[in-house]
Amino acid sequence: MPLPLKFNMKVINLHQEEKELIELAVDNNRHAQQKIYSKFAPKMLSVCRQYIKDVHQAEDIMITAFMKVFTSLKNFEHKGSFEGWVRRIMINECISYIRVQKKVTFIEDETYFEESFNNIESKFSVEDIQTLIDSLPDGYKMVFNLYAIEGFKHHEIGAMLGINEGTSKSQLSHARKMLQDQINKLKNYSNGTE
Amino acid sequence: MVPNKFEEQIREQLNAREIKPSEMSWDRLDAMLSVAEEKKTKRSFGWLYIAASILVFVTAGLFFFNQNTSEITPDATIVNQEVTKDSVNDSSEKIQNEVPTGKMQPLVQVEENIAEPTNQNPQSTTKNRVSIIKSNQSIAQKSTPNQQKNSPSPKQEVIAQNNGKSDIKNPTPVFSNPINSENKEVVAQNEVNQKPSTKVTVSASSLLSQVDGELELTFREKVLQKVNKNYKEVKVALSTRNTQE
Repeated sequence: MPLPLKFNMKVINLHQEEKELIELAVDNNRHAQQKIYSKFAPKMLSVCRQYIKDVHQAEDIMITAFMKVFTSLKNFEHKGSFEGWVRRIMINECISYIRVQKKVTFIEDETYFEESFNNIESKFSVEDIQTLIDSLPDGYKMVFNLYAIEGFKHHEIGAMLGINEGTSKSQLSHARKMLQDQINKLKNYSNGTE
Repeated sequence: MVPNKFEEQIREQLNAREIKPSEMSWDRLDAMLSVAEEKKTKRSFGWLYIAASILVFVTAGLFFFNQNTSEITPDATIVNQEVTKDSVNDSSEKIQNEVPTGKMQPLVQVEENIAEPTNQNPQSTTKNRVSIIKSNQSIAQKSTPNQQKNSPSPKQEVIAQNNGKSDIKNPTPVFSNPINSENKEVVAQNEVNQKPSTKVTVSASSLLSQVDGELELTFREKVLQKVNKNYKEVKVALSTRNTQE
């Protein structure tokens, strides 16, 4: 179904507006930078929160990442989505923080098993989902977030984290199994069996 | 491993989520951006300072280099300066007219005395004339030794030339003979006739140079005399010692 003309014009105008804002922000126009920040900060803080349990810590990391966004804004070539570019910077900053500050290391383990959540029918709130993700160890959490939520392939995750593709698969398999156990526990808790 | 329905559900829910940052978050980022901009500007100024200091050093170096070359050029023009010294002597000769005027005032008085001989005693006029002749004689005596003190150095040559010039204009040798003669009146007449030339002959610079030359000569003579004296004393002492032995 073709999109209406008015909608297309609105998208073009928004894109043009965003481009102008970026160009102004490149020249250190603080008003333009603030506009960009107010537009993307809530979404980006949500992204950072997926990786970092503490909200304040997540906000600090988001601010640092925004700093990198504005300092390297001249390198943005307007080829892809600006939001996607900013999001990638946020993810990299979170991974860097976890790997450097928390000194997370991955054990090379290529054994994995097929585990699916297809049998999970129940719906969870965002808070519950976040609680489930927070319960995962940092290594599992990173691979799960990158694969299941960001949509990266295993070889991309391996390149990002400096691990083998098999290790990434293994980490995802372990993360899924752990989540399954957590969901079962929640189910049992809500059913009153435990 | 394919993303399943549950994961898609999680993705949709998390992507739709927005967490409002704290109110101070933008201020913090603003402060960080300001600091980064200041650092950038400081860096650029740092380069400017370095460039400016290099420029200063280069200009200072060039200045001193040029100064050295300019110091060399005057050495080449020292001869010109010497020439100018000569010219100064020449000019001093021109100025000489002012210097001797004080000394020549008695001559004017003499003229007055000659012009009005009836009002004054003839004895006094003769006395004045004699004094004038004596003064001229002394000038001549001072000027004449320089002619004998010609040394091979170029400066002294120049001085000698100047003295020669002054001697040409100086009529004192003419008066030196009449002083010995008894006829003083004739000498006085000659003196009056050649009065303008006497004005030119007396030169302050030549006098100074003469005095300098005399001083140099006396010093040399003294030194030579002392050396001779000591040599003789030593000689005598040695001879006496030899005779005693």
